[in-house]
Amino acid sequence: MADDEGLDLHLPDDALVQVLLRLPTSSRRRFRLVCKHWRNLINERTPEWRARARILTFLCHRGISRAHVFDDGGGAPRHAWTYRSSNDRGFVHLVGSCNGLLCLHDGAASPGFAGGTLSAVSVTNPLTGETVALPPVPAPWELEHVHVRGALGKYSFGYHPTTGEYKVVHIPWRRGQAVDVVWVFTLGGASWREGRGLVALDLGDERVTWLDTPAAAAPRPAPEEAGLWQLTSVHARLGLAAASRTRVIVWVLERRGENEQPRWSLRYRLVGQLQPHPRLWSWVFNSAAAAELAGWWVTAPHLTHGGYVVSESWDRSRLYRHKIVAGVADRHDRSERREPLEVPVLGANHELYCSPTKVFAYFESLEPLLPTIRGHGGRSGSSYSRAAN
Amino acid sequence: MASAGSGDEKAAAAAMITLISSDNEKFEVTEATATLSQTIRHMIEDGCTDGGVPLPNVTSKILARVIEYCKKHATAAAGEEGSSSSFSDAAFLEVDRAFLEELEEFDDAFLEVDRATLFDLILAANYLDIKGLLNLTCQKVADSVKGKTPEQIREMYNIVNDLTPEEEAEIRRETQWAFE
Repeated sequence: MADDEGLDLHLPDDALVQVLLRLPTSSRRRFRLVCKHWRNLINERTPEWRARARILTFLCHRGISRAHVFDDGGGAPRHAWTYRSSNDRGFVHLVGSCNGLLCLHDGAASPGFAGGTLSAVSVTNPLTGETVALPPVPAPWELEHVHVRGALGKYSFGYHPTTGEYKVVHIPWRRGQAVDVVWVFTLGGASWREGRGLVALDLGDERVTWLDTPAAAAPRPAPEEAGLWQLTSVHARLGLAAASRTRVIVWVLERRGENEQPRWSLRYRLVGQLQPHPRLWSWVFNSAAAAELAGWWVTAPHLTHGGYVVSESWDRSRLYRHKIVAGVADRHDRSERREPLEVPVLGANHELYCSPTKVFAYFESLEPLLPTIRGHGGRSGSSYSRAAN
Repeated sequence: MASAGSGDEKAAAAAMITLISSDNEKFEVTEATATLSQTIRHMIEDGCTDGGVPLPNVTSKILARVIEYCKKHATAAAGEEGSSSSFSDAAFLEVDRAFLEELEEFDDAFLEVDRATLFDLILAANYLDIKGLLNLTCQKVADSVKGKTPEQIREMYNIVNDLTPEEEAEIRRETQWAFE
């Protein structure tokens, strides 16, 4: 078919639906942006474009990490997957979850290990077993000067709804080092490309935007309320959770119109007095520590799951799903608004000081990893993505 | 293909059906070929094919292509059935694979048409209810558009974007929400 000029599409609905049904899910989702008619046909006559998002928890332990996917209503996990580090002292982190694809970062490999790679990033669909290993991230610093523990910067994984491309973003960072470069890898591409700046990255044109914090728009919390700020994702928008001793306030970055500057608005209050483990009681009187504990309320990178937020118990052995009512979720509401999620106990790994369980949204799909995109003809999108977790 | 020949012999003995295109051209086909179309199969079962089957939605140009497809696939089906008793399993599998390969080659060549013809074939396959042909042609269109952006789709098919900026924003949000 060499004729690429416009041709009136005169297929009747039945035939067009037959074509739409034979598209990969990702294309079908994207083509809802073609026009009203296509949107309606895809919404009404093709299956499961909006499959249920499920809660995915990710426990990161030395040498091995475990992912669990839960059904609505809690209970035992629906899926359990384990990911081993290439080095038994290493940590596998889940960078992101998107359309059923998981992006994993094995941040353990030390210099000299596995041919000198600092870390290994891969994208996998756990349902199909398909996995793609990304080329090594360009090393920004002389290796001998790098303190290799940890991830050496931040990673993020996102999807651009217009072009259908998946991108992995890497921001190299270490203590005392200014952030001045962002690396972007497009799934299906050959290499990492460089971008500059930080905070909000447009996955369409790979342009980066700096944002003010809500402090510019709202009074700072009172000194005794002073606490920690943490980035999270709230209904696919950038959320900023300010945790204090008694509550967590969640701000969300919103843009009302195409040309308007994004603005922070207050979205949720998460309440509930702290009831720490007795051993920690004195420590908790330190307000910064208290805020950190209150911050456990804030699951990252995904805070909200439908009308729910997820919280973690003190001993890290249980997770709860709490219903948000009128913008408020109460940690101590023991009614039916709170449902336990049974995270399989991992024995000694459940220590008080281990890193918090990460909570993601997971969307079951058979999405292929091969790129389905051949051009960049789309308009530059306006979707903001978290640049770093 | 030996069994292709036997298929033709069988067909010669079978009843013939006359199909009439929208521009009044008549096509004589065997019942085995015609009944790949569920629509025609039902007409035959209802006994209303005497004097020919008028197909007012299908031009002679397209009908000729559709019949070409049906003949090939009807022959292949007859060959598969006929050969199972006369070959050992291994030989049967060999023939079977040869058939499938030949059929695949035929299908690939069959799809070497311009977009307008492809659409007409989809319409005919839809109207005549020929599952294999509908699947083949729709998959071809789906494969040719799946990697495009919405803007490229609009250009390809002269579609006007009648979504308001608010609706577009909503769809983008929903697309994301699916993952939340």
